[in-house]
Amino acid sequence: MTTPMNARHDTPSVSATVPILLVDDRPANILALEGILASPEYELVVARTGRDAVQLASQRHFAIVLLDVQMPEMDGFETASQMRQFARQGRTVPIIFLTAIDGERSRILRAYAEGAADFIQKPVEPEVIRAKVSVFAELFRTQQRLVAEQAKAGEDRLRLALEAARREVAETRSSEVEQRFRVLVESVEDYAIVMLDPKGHVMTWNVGAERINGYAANEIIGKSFKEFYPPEDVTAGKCELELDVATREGRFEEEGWRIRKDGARLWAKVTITALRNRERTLVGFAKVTRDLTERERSEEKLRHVATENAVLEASSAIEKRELARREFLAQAGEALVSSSLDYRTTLATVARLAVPALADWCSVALVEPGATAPSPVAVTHTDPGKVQLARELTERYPPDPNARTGVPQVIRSGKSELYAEIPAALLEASAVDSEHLRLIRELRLESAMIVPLTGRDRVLGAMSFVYADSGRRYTENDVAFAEDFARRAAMAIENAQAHAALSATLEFNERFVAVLGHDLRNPLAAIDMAAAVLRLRATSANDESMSHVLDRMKSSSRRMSRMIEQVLDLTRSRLEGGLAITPASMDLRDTLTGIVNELLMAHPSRSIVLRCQPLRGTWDPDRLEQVFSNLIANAIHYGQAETPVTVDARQENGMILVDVHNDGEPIPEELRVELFNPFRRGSRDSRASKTAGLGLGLYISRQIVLAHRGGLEARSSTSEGTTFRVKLPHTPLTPASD
Amino acid sequence: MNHTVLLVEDDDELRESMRELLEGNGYTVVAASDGQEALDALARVEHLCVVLLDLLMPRMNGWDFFEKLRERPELTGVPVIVQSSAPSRAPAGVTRVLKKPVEPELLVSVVRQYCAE
Repeated sequence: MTTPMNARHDTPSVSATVPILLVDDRPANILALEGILASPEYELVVARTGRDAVQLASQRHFAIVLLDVQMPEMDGFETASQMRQFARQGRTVPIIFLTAIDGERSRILRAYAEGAADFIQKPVEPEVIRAKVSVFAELFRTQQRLVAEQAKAGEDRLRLALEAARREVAETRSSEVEQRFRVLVESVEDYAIVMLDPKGHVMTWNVGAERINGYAANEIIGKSFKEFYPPEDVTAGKCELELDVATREGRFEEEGWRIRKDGARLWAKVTITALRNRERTLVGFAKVTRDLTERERSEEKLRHVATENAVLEASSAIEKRELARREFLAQAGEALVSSSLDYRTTLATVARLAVPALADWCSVALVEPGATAPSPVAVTHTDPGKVQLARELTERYPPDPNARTGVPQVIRSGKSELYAEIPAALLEASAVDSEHLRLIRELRLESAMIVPLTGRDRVLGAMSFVYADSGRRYTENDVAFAEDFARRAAMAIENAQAHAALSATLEFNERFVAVLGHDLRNPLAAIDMAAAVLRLRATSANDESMSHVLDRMKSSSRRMSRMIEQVLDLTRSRLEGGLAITPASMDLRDTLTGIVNELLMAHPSRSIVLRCQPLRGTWDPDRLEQVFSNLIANAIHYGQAETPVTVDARQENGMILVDVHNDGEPIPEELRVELFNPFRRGSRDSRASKTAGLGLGLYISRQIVLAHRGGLEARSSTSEGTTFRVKLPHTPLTPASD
Repeated sequence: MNHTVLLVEDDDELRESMRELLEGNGYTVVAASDGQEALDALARVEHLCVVLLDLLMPRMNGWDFFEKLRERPELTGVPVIVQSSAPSRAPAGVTRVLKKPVEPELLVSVVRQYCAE
């Protein structure tokens, strides 16, 4: 909730004095407060109306606000409520209400609901007010010191590093600058400074990143930066959004939660800057992260003190219950979010948190995916002995799935059940036999409610809350509260289940790649070798017909071997978001000459014209050979036999252009749109011969060119024939790792 | 020139086809189905000219075998040709790495470089 009023003070300087806001409509009261709190340590700021107070509080961060309840126009409660709205979430200012009205419980409750840290009755006792204010002043100072120290230490080091880098730049030959700058960045400890490629894969990693995010460089380089985000942010597409903003606006900045390698959350200030080359093409992002968790914690501590004070003051049973609910919601909510991946453990935690404040006995039953009947996943009881008893009961007397009341019915109907009182007759009616009845009675059930865990399109299970032996009773109000909570729990469960299904798919894919990459090659090699053995024998026996059979066998096994490589490339590029390349210094002319000679040997009746100067650059030689073999072989295959295939390689505007051209029938219109798609239909058309592959060659060629940060496109017409153009930068962004 | 090839490969069909192919080309082949068996076989081999080594094998894999082999000073001169589906993971110091599936002609020509028929 940000509004124009919400001026932010992210790095407040350490003020010598602690700012305190005094709000009262009566000058006499203000004078009294100023007298009581007069101290060189405090800066007292005065507001005469609620409106002024809200305005002031939105502009600066006060250590504490002393707020009169009874004011004309806008009273203290309304003022507090607006202050909360205008303050950035999670940064509420502690408020102490001052009131002359004696002992009105509902008012005190409302004050706490509005975020009161404390409540003081007029006439104020000077000692009491000084003591209370000094507690918050001390907290404020501690918090400020912490923030300032962090900011200064971090910024000093970064500034020193950058200055040193600038000096280095001035003094060093440019080839060394990058290396030295890199060393400096790598040694910065207070900031995680990370380079991402345009898709968000981590390319560099420094000491600060290791300290803040917990990964060693070799564990994270090449992985997506999504690893640092809470799962719910990833699902919501936040990562893509951030890169998108950085791409469009040059820069993305925010404070938010991130995840460390060990799963812990950290509150981080993150800046993502788009990096562009001279041609203004996006080449990646620089991501700078600062860990502000400590600052956030100290603020939380402040809030916690406020809660504790509130607990002390709230004495009636109703207040305690309300606080217990809030406490439960806060803790359970945290449990649901933070460990949502193992939802069974999470549900057990939630059930434990509910006892004893909200129930003497809490149990959760889930209908697991694929199962028809609910199974218990968590049971907690104030008395551990009873947990055993309850387990025994469910095992020996599983609930009748067709029962018209109870957990199965709640799951079927999705409607909650409330038993404010459990009469003896109900127990007797639900017991199967006398032993069952004895066990149920031993649980001493007095009041119960069962609420459904309702997911997006089915009821996932049910949560039961039971009061036993403690004289408490559930009301409709409690049911509404529990339903609300159960909805959140159900959402967490569904997320976790979706995540589990996804990891199963990923695991399957990895296994698939392993089978393809390893297990299929051995039998293929064995067939090849066996064919070669037979060929030896056929040759020595002068058996020509057998030699033909063996030639076909060999050609088929080669084709299959190529297909395996292609499917492997396809799978890798799909799973890893692109193909990996290993660039090395090379001359493209050597590669092209080799390919042309080899293809001429295989097709002695055809001619290929190669026009190429020496073209040095940093590319992956094996992968480029794959690309050009594929393109030139295609040109021979589909081009007309009478005219030569031409390969024209040259340098233009800082890019390398290679045109592979053949005359003859153009690529059919309907095929052109999906030319670079994997398994395209065109590979099955009449033009394809019996040696057709899987329709993966062009797809993979384009993936390879894209991995070099280049481009591959095709033009085809009856008058001009067909030309495939490969565009390559002299060097892809990623330097060779060795 | 020596003429005995030590062939270490855990896939039975592949190993036997390779053995037949090499024997058909006039070489002596001692075959082993894992690194341990290959170490044991070394005691029996005379006139060793080359080791053809798979990497992923049960009991003792190709990396461990290569390490043990290099601990024997009398065998340091013997070339080791790795054939694997993951050629980039071959141990440092091997003579040559071939990617599976290895073409029969290539296999024979590589062996011919180091061994007498």
